[in-house]
Amino acid sequence: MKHTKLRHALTLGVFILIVGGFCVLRLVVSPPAILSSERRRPAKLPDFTLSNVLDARFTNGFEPFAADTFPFRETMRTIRAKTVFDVFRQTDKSGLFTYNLGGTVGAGKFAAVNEAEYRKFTAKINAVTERYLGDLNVFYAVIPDKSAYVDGDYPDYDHELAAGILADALPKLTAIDLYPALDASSFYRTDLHWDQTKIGAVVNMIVGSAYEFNDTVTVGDFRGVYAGQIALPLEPDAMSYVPVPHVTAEYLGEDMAFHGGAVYDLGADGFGSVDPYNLFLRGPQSLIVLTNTETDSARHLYIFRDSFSSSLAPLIAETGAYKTVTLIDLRYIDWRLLEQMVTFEPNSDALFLYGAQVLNDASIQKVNA
Amino acid sequence: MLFSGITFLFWFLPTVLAVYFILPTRRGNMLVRNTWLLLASLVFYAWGEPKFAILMIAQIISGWVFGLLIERGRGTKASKYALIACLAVGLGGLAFFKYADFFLANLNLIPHVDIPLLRIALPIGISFYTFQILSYDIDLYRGETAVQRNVLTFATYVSLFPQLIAGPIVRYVDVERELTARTHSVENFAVGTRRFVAGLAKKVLIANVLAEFVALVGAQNTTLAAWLYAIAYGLQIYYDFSGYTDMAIGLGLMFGFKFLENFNYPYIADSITDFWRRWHISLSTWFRDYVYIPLGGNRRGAARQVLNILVVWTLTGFWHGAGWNFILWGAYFGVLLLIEKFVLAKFLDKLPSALRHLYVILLILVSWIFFASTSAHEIGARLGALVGSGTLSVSPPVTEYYLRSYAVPLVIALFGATPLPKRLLSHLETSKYAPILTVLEPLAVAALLIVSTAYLVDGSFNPFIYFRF
Repeated sequence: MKHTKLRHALTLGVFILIVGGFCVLRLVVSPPAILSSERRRPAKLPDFTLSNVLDARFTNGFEPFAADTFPFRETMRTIRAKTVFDVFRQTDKSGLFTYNLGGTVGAGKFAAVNEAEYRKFTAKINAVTERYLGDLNVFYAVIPDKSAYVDGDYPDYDHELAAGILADALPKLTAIDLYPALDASSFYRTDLHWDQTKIGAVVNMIVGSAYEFNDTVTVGDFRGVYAGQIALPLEPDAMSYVPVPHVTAEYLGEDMAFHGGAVYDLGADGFGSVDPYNLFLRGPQSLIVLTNTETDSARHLYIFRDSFSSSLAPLIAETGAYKTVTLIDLRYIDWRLLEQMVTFEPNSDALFLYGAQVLNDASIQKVNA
Repeated sequence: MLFSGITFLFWFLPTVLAVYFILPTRRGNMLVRNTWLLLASLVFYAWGEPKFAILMIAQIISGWVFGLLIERGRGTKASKYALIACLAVGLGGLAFFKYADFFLANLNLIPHVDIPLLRIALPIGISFYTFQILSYDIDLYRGETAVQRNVLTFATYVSLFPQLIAGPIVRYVDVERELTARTHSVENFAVGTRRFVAGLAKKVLIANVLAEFVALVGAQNTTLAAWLYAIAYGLQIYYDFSGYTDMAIGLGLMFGFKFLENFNYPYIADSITDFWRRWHISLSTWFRDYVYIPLGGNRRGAARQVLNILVVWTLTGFWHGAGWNFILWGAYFGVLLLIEKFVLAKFLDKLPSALRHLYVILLILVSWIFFASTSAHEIGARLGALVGSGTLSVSPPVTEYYLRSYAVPLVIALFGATPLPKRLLSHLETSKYAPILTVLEPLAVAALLIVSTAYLVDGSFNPFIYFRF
C-alpha cells in the first residue's frame, strides 16, 4: 500500500515535470532563427486575426509552429532516430538508412528507379534536344546514387535498370556510363553529393582525358543533408575543393546579364550558407559560363544539370578540353527563353547530366515537353 | 485538435489542468469547474474547424430542449412527439452533414439524374456526439434517467473534450452523478496519467509506425504484401482506436470521470460474436440498446431476429462512413453473426481453441480489407492478392526488406494485442518484486512520454482513423 501510494505520487510527479517543464521551457527558451540541420526556417505562428481563426488558418498553422519551436528540438529528433534504429531495429527511417564505410557511419536514402518518372524526364530531354541541339553532339549520363555502392539490402538504385530505360528513351543521344568511375568513397558520407576530390575518373571519362588533380584545399567540416534528415550524431565529412587556377566563372544575374564571380565561394553565399555544398559555384544558379583562360581549345560544352555538376564542371573546365563550359539548370530558367541567353555553337558538345534522385522526380524540371 | 499533438500535450492540456485544479469547488459544487471544462472543450473542438462548433452547440441545445419537453410531457403523447422530433433533428443533422453526398451520388447513378453534390466537409465527431445526445433523450423518455435542467451541465456532458471526437460513446446515465459530484485524487490522476501515456504511446509509437508499414506494403503487388497489409492494418486500426480510447479514459480519470471500457483484447476472441463483445464496445451496446432491442431483438421469432440483426449491422457499417464499403463491411458481420448463431455455434464449440482463434482472425482480416478499401475494384484486387490472384510474385525482395525493417514493431504490436503484458504486470504487482514498480512505472511513463513527444516533434505520420466517423 505504501509502495503503491509512492508509485502514484512519482508517476504524477514525472508527468507534471515533463509536461509542465516543456510547457515552461517553450516560454523561456528562444527558438532558433534557422533549423540548421534541416536547412530551413521554423514555421511561423500565423497572425492571430479573426479571419485566420474563423477559416482555421491560425489553428492549422499552430501545430507546425509548436513542433518547430519545441525546446531541444534537435535532441528530440535524435531520440526518435535512436528509437527507430536501436529500439525498433528498423533498417531505415522514412527511406534514410545508415551504412558503414571503413569503420565510419554514413547515411543514404532509397533511390529505387521510378520508371514512370524517368520516362517523363527523358521526354523533356528529347524536347530540349530537338529544339536546340540538332547540330551538336549530345550525350547523357546518370550519376548513380550512392545507395548502389554501399552494402545493404535496401531497395536501392538499380543501375542496369536505369541504363536500360534511358537507352530506350533517348535513342538519339550517346550514353556515358559513369558507374565504373565511382564507388562508395566517391560520395560524402553525410550527403547525397559526390566529393569533388574523388571524381577525377568521372572527369576523364567525360572529356576522354587522363588529367590528374593532385592538389586539394580543405575548408572545414561538412554535415550534409542526410546528417540533418536522419538526425543521428554522424561524424562530419571534410569539405575540400580542387583548385582550378585556369578557370573563371560568370553567373547570370537577376538583371539578365553575366557577372564574374569566384568558382569556389567561401563566403556567406557559399560554404558559409545553410548548405555548405554551395561552396561550388554558389549553389543553385540558372546559368553559369566557365572559361578556361589558358586552353587552345575552341570547343564548347553545354551541361544541362543539377547540383552534382557544380563540383564537376570546374574540373572539366580545368582540363582545357573545352574553351567554355556552360551550365544550364532548367529548374531555374524557362527553357523557352534559353535561346535569348545561350548561343548553342554548332558541332559543340552537350551533356545531360543528372543524379538518380533527380531523375526520379521529373516534376522539378520545369520543362513543358 | 489531436491528443497526439504538441499543441494538445504542451499548450492545451497543462493550461486546462492548471486552471481546473485552481478553480474552487464550493461544497463539492462542480458548476465552476464544469463551466471551465465546457469552455475548454469548445476551444478543443473549434480548433479543427471553428464553424462546426456552432453546429455542435445547436445540437446540444436542441437535445437539451427536447429533454425538457420529454420531461414536461411525461405521461402524454407530447413526450413521444418530443422524442420523435429529437431523433429527427439529431439523425437529420447526421444524415445531412455525413451522408447527403453519398445519397446524391447514388441517385446520380440513375439515368438522366444529375444533382450537384453539396461537398460538405464532415464535422469532426458528429457521429459520436449525436449518439450521445440521442442516448440521453431516449433514456429520459424511457424513464431511465432524470432530466438535466442545467444547460451548462448538459453541454459539458456532450462536449467533454476527452471523449468528444472519437469516443468512447459515453451515455449520460454513466456519468450523470460525476457531472455534479465527482472526486479527485492523486491515485485517480496517477492512474489516468499512466493510461493516457500508454494510449499516447500506442498511437504514436505503434499505430503511426504501422501506418508507414501499411502504406509501404499496400503499394506492393505481391501475395506476401497482401497478407502483411491485412495484418498490419488490423493492428494499426486497433492501436489507433484503442490508443485514443486509452487517452480518453486516462484524461477522464484526471478530471474525475470514469468512462466505460471500449476494448477488451478483441484479437483473442474465439468467435465473431465474441469479437464484437470486445471491439468498440460502446458502439455495439449502443446499437443493441437503441436499435436492436426496440426492433424486437430476438423476441419476435427467428425471421424477425434475422432481419433485426441484418438491419443493425448494416447500420453499424454505415455509421462508420458514407460509403458502400462500410455498408458491405457491416453487412458482412451481420451475415457472419447469423451464420454463427444459427449454423456454426455448436460446431465452433467443439473446435480446438487455436482453430477457433484462427477462424476469427482470418475473417477479421478479410473485414479490414472491406473497411480500408475505397472501391469495389480495390476490394477485389486486395482479396484476390491474398490467394495470389493478380500479383506479380509471391514474395519479392522489397516486400521482404520491409518485413525485416518493421519486424520488431510488428512483434511488439502482436504481443501487446494480447492480455499477456497486463497479466505480467498483475503478476508483478502481487509478487515479492512489487516494490520495483515504484520506480519502474514512473520511469516507463517518463520514457514513453518523451519518446512519443520526440516522434511528434520530428513530424511523423499522425492521422486518427476514427476521426472520419
